[in-house]
Amino acid sequence: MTAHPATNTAQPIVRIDGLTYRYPGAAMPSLRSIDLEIGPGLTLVIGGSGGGKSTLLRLLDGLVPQFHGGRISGSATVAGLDPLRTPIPRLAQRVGLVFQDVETQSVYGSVEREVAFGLENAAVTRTEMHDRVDEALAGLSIEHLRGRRLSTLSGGERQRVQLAAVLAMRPELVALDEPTSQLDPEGAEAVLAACRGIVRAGRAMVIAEHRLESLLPAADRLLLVEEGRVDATAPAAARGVTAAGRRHSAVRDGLAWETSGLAAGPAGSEVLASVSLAGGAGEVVALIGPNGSGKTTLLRTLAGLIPPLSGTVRRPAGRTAYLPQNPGALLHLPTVRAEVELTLRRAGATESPELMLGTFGLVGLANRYPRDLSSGERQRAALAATLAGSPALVLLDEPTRGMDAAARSSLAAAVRSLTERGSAVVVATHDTELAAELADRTIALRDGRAVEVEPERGATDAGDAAPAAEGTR
Amino acid sequence: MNLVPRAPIAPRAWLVWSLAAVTVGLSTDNPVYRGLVALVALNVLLTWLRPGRRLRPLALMLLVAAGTAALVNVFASHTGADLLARLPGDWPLVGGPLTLESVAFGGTVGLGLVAALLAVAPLSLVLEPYDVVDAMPRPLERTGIAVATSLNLVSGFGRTFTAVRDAQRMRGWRPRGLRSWNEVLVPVLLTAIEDSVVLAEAMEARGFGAGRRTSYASRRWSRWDLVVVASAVTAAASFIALRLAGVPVDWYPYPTLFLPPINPVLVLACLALSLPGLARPARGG
Amino acid sequence: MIGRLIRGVPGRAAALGVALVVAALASLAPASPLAQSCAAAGSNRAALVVEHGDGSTVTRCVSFDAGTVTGEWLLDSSGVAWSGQSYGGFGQAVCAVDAEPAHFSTCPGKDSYWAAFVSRGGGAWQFASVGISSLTLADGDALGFRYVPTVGSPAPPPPAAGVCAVAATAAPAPATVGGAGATPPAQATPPATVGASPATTDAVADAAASAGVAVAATAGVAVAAATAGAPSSAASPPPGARGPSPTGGIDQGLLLAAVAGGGLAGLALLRVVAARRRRA
Repeated sequence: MTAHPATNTAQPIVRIDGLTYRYPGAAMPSLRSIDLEIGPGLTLVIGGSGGGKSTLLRLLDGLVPQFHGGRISGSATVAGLDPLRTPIPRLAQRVGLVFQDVETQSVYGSVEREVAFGLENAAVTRTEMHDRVDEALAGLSIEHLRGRRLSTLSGGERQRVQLAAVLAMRPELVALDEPTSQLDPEGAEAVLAACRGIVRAGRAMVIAEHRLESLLPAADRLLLVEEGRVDATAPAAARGVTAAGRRHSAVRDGLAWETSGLAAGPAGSEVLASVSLAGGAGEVVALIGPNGSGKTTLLRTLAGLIPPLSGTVRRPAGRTAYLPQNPGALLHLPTVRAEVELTLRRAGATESPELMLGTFGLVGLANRYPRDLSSGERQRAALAATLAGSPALVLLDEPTRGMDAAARSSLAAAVRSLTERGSAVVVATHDTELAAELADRTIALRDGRAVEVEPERGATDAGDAAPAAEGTR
Repeated sequence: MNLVPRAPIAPRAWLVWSLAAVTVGLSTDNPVYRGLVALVALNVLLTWLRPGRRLRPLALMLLVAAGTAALVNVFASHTGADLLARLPGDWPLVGGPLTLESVAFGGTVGLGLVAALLAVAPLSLVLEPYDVVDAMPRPLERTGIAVATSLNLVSGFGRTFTAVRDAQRMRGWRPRGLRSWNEVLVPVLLTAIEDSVVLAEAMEARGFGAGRRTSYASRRWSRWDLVVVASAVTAAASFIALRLAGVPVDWYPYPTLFLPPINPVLVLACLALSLPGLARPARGG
Repeated sequence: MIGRLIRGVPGRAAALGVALVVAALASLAPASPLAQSCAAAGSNRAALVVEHGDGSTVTRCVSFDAGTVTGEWLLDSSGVAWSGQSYGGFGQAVCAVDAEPAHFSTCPGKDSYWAAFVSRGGGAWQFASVGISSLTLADGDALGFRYVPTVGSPAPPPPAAGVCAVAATAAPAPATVGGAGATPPAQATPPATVGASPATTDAVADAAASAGVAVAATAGVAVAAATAGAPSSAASPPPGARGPSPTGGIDQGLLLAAVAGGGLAGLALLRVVAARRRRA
C-alpha cells in the first residue's frame, strides 16, 4: 500500500450504511445491506460478473436509483451529498464516472468539445471552460489530441479523453466502470497508467476492473463484491485463479482447414496480402497482432462471410461456429436456454443444451432473459449459443473481452472439450494469457502476412520476442 | 485586408447559404438559373467536402429524383406543339400525346430538384452531425444536442446490422421470407435501444439536465462568414426583387419551345452564391 | 467593403470601364435601321387576318404613317375586340379575340390558344414566338391569328394576299365573311418612338446592368439596372427560335450564362477527377 497526501483523513469520501437496492422488476436485490467506507487514494472493486460492481459504482453518482429506478433502502453519503436525493447534475460536479463502452458514451465528435461537455452543462463561463479543458488535457498528457476527431482515435486514446472530460469538472471522486474491457493491452495500459497518475496527484479514485496486475501495487483498499455483498479485503486475496497450465497435445490426424495464397479484405481493400496457413482437427491456433492487422478479416474469410480476393480457403465438412466481437448483440430470444436450443436445432445436433449451459456455468441463469444479464454473463450466454452442436471449425474473435477470471476459465474448459471432440479452433486475441494457456500454435499477423511465433517467449502484440518489462510502462 | 477564411464556415452561416440557394433554385422556373445554382452548389460542395465522404450516394439520389420528376411530367402533361410520340388516349393518365415541351418542362422540374438537393447537401456532407447543435437557435439548443447524439448512434447501426446478420448466418439462419428477418432485426433493434440508454446514462452522469447551459464554441461570425451570408442574402433578394419588378424570371415552354430569357444580373446573382466555394482554410478545415 | 472588393480584383474595374465605353459607342450608332426609314403619311399598310376556331375569318387592313408598328398597335387599331395578358419579357399574348374563348383561366389556354403569325412583304406565314407587343410590322407585312389546339404544330390562317390590295385610300373597306365594319384608325400616335427607343435603351441598359453587377449590387441598384435591361431580352429574341427577330444579335445574358455554366461545370469535373485520382 502506498501512502497518500490525504486531503481530509478524518472524513471518508463515501460512506454507505445498510443499503439494499433492487432493479425494477428484478427478483433479487443487486446490493444487499452493504456497509462500506471509501477514503482517499485508490480503491479497487473486484468480483465476478453480475455480482453488483457496476451497480455499486452507479450508486456513487446517483444513477442508481435516480436514473434506473427500482427500490432502495438504507443511506449513503458521497462527497458530502446524498446520492439518493441530490439531483444528478449537482452530484456530477463532485463525482465523475467513466463507462465501459468506449464509443457509445461520446456525445460530440471532437476532443475539445467532448471534454467541455460537462462544463457546458454546469454553465461554466467560456473563458473558464477553455482554461479547464487545457488543464484536463495537460493533466493526462494528451494535449496532442486536442484538435482531433474522436472517431480517428484508438480505444485507449478515447477512454483517456473521457477521463479528461471527468477531470475537467474537478471532481472529488473519480469512478471508472471496467474502463479497459474493450481495449487492447496497449490502450489498457495507457489508461491505467493515467489512472495511477491521477491517484498520485492526490485524487480519490474507485475502479472496477479485471486487469488487476498493474493496479494492485497502487491500491489502498480492495472491495470484493459478490452476489450483492461487499467485503473489504486485502490485496493478497486478489491473486485469483491460476492458469490451468499449458496444454500439450499432438495435432490429430488430418488437416481441418487451410488457406493458400489468400488475399482478402473488407470492401475490396487488401488487408491480407498472401496468407498460407493450415490447421488440423483438435488443434488450437491463436492469432495475434495489432488492431487492423487482419485478424478479424482472416476469421471472416475462414467463416465464408467475405470472399477472398485471391487464393483459396478450405473448410472442414460440418458446421462452422463464429463468435463475433460483440456477441451480446445477437441475443434476442426469451431465455438463454432457447438461444442454445436454436443453434442446436439449426445444426441438426442431438446433444442436450444442458451440456453447453453447464460448461459455461449458466445452469442457474438458463431461464433468464439474456439481455437482462450483466455483460460478462451475456458474453458467456453468447458463447454457449454459438458453440453448441459440436462444430467442426470454431472461430473466436476476442472472446475474453470484458470477461472476469471465472468466465475465462470456463471458456478455456469449453475450448478444451471441443478440441477433444475433434473441433479445430482458431482464436484471435490480445489476451496473451489465454493464448499461452490454450494455443498449440501462435500466428502473428503483420503487414498482411502471417508468421508463426513461439508462444513460450511471451510474444506481445508488437511481434518482438522480448518479454514485457516489469513495472509500469 | 484578408478575406480568405482561416477557419471553417460557421454552421449558421451554412444554414443561411443553403436556404438562400434553395430559395433561388426553387423560386424560379428557369432552367438556366436552376442549372447555375446546381453547378455553383456542386462546386461549393466539392470545396468543403469532409475527407472520407463519398459523393456516389448523393449522385444516385439526384439521378433518381430528377429522372422521376422528368418522366412524370413527360407522361402526365400532354400539352405542347412539338409531338414526339402518341400513346393511346384511353390509357389512364399516360394516354395522349407526348411532346417535346413536356420533356423540356420535366427537365426543368428535375433540375430544380437537383439544385435544391445540392444546396442542402453541405448541411450533411460538410458539417459534422454535432454542428447541428451550433446551427440551432438558442431555444432549440437542447433539441440540437439530442439530434446530434442520435445521429452519432445511427451511424453505428449499419455496423451492428452487418455484424448481427453475419453472426446469425453462422448459426444457421437463412433469409427465407419476411418473418425470418426477425432474427436479425430484433437483436439490432434491441442493441440500438440499449445503446441509446447507455448514451443517455452517460450524458446524465455528466450533468446534462434541465438547467442552464453555456456553450464552449463561440457563436460569433468571422469576417468570411459575414461575406458568405451577405452574398447569399443578396442573391436571393435579387431574385425576389427582380420578380416583383416584373422582370421575366420564369420560363414556360408552352405552347411551343423557345429559349429561356436570361438576365445578366440574375446570372451574376447565381454566381454570388459560389463565394463559399472559392477558398478553404489551408489548415485542416 | 465595396472599395476593398474592387481593389482586390482590378480586373473588375477594367471590365467596368470597357463596358461603359462600349455603351457610349453603341448609343451613338444607329440602333435600328428601321428607325431611319422615312415615314410617308398614311402610305404604309399592313393586313390583319383572324381565323376563329369554327373557321370563320375576319380581315382588316390598317394603314399607318410610321415606318414600323407593333403587332399590338395593329390589333388595337384594327377595331377587333381582343384581350390579352402580358408576360414580362415575352410581351403581350393574345388570350381571346371577339369573345373566343368566352372565359379563360389560363392564357395560353390548356386545350386551344391563339397562335400568332407574321408574313413579311407578302411572303409565307411564319409562327411568331414572341408576344405581339414585341413584333414589328412594316409596309406590306401582315399579322395573322388562328385559334389552334395546343397539341401539334399550329397551322396558319388563310393567306393575307388581297386584304390590303383592294383599298388604295387611307381608309380601306373591310371585306369577307363575318367582318364587323369597324373603321380602323388610320392615324394613331406615331409609333416611331416605340420602334426606336427599345433599341437605343438596349445598350445603355446592358452597360448599366454590367456596371451594377460589378459594384456587387445592393438590391436597389439591381432592380434599377434590371428593369432597364428587361426590354433588351424582349427586343432580341435568341436565335434559333421560330419567327422573325427584329434586332437579332446574341443575347448577352445567354453568353454570360454559357460562360459561367461552362466554367463551373469544367471546374467541378476537374475536381472530381483529381479527387478520384488521389483516392486511387
